[in-house]
Amino acid sequence: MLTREGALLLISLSGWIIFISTLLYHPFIFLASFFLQTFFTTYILLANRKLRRLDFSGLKVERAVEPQRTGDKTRLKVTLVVKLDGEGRLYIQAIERPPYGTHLMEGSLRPEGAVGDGQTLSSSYVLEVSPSMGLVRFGKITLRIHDPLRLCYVSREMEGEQEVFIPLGEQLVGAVYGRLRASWIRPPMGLGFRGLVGYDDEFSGVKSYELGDRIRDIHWMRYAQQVDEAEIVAKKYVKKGEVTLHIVVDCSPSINAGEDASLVTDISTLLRRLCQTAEEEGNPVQFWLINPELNQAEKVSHRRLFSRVAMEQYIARVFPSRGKDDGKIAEAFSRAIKGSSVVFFIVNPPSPNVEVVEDMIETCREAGARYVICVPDMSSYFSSPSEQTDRLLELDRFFKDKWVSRFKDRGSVIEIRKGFAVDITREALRRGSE
Amino acid sequence: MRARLVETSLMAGILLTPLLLNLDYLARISLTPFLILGCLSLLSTYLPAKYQHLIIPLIYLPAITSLVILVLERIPQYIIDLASGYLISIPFISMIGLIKSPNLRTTVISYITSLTSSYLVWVIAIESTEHGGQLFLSLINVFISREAWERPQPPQIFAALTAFSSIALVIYLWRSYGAVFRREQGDALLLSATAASLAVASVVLYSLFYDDSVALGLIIAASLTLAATLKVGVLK
Repeated sequence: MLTREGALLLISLSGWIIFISTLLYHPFIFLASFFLQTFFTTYILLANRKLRRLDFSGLKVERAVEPQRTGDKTRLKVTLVVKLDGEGRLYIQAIERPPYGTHLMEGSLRPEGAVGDGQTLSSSYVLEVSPSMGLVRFGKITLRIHDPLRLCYVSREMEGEQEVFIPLGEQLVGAVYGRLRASWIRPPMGLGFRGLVGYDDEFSGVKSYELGDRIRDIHWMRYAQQVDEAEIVAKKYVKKGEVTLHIVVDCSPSINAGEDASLVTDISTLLRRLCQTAEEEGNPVQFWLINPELNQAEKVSHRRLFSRVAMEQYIARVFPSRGKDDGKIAEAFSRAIKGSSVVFFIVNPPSPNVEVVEDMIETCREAGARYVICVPDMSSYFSSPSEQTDRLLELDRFFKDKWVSRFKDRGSVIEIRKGFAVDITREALRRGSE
Repeated sequence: MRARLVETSLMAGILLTPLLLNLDYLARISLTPFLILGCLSLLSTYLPAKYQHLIIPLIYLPAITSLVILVLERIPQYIIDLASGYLISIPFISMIGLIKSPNLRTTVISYITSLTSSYLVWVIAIESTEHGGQLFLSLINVFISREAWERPQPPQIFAALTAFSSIALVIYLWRSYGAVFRREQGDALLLSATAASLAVASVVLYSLFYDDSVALGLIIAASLTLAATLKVGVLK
């Protein structure tokens, strides 16, 4: 590839040669610019050929990340080292992209320099992590090998994917939940989670009464009907099982809406609120993150998830990701879901993973599980709408209405409005308990 | 120390052609005080930071004085001389730009600019000395008449000097920007310089027999540029 300098040089030289040949023609000026144009184009062709033949096996990239905490801010000190084991010297530029939820505070994300055999190119920079992030994912590192005059380059993607858990600590998580609790009024009896999920047993038939069975379990109707033999029968119950709260989040790029990713922040608040209520009522929570950038183990949490730190780690994985999910999560979901489950879908259609969400909703319908679909009201996330934005919002609304109208038999649909995550949670729980 | 001396010598070699062209016409024209003031006032913009306070008087004093003389005395001579001074400062500004160039592209473009502007002012100066008249008025004449532009022919020594300056520029760029890679990729420089010299020689040879050598040069340059752009690729 031509570098910016290389492209501008060729454009400038071409402009000059045309200008000189048409307006200010004189042989020796023309020949001088012709010589330079020929020289640089030939040089670029030769250098590019040489760069393409380079062996990159001797290049190694290492990244060391050190979390630092100053006040209520979390910073990551990143040291990037590029090492060359091989003959000769190369001019290398390493390109890092700041992970989602971080921004650069100090240093450069594009260190460059000449590296010889056994030498290293090292640079360090500091990233500030957004308070809502519990996990930072570094992507691949792009290495650009330049020609000596930096007119062209070849680039290679180097393995450098890395996850860094931000040390939240129980205290910090406790503080976050403490703030939430202050603004939360527990719903009246019957509207809370206990009324919804309970620990009720399910009648499954009768059996002979045995010593130890509760008197209230005696099937008095059947006893009254028995004429010949006076055997007492008791009702048989099957444990219905505790109700697990399943939270499905579609982490498509469409959730990256509003200023400072306010939709992601609202979703995080909503998730925390749901987790907090589940914790108070003793119900387990299971996360299902439709995020193509995560592996299967990272997408699905353990069924019995009570630890706040663990929950925070899953909430931190809610970030917009490009690409389409492979759909394996829907298969795992179909095995885990039961009639007693309550599922919260958080999705912003249209998105690349909408088919996966549809499969999961279909699973809920087949299993008889209750579900609530939370879709954002996009108009509340745009503070200064223009005519074009209005038109897009209308289209978005039309699509959402059309989409959600398909899933209203056993489920409810509620809208997430900017800054109303707490109220939405209350409404979602009320709908779920109906 | 030695490397610095070599680089300074190479820079002097690059500046040799535009500098000699400028000296050639300066020797031919009559230097008036306002012409020199005009030249110096524009060059003063390159003064170091501690002399910045001198720039405004150096620019405005000659300009206001010549304007006052034009309005009160109705003598346009001084303001025309001042404009001529501005004109002859252009090649010098390009040369200072060349010395101060921060990167490869600006060095190359400043070199061509200084060469072209020096030649332009040289043609204007020759035109004004041969046919009498002011430098600034000759500029207008040169732009109006194509013949006036093509008439003066610089001595052949300038062609040789330009070739020398261009080679010095290529070596200077390599030493400044690719010095650490001399062993690894020095052959790319040599091959490119040889190919470019051969291309120039072909165009010169062609011009001895045919009239459309410029077209040939343009076709070769365009083909190579297109090949480099397509083969190497450009990323937005």
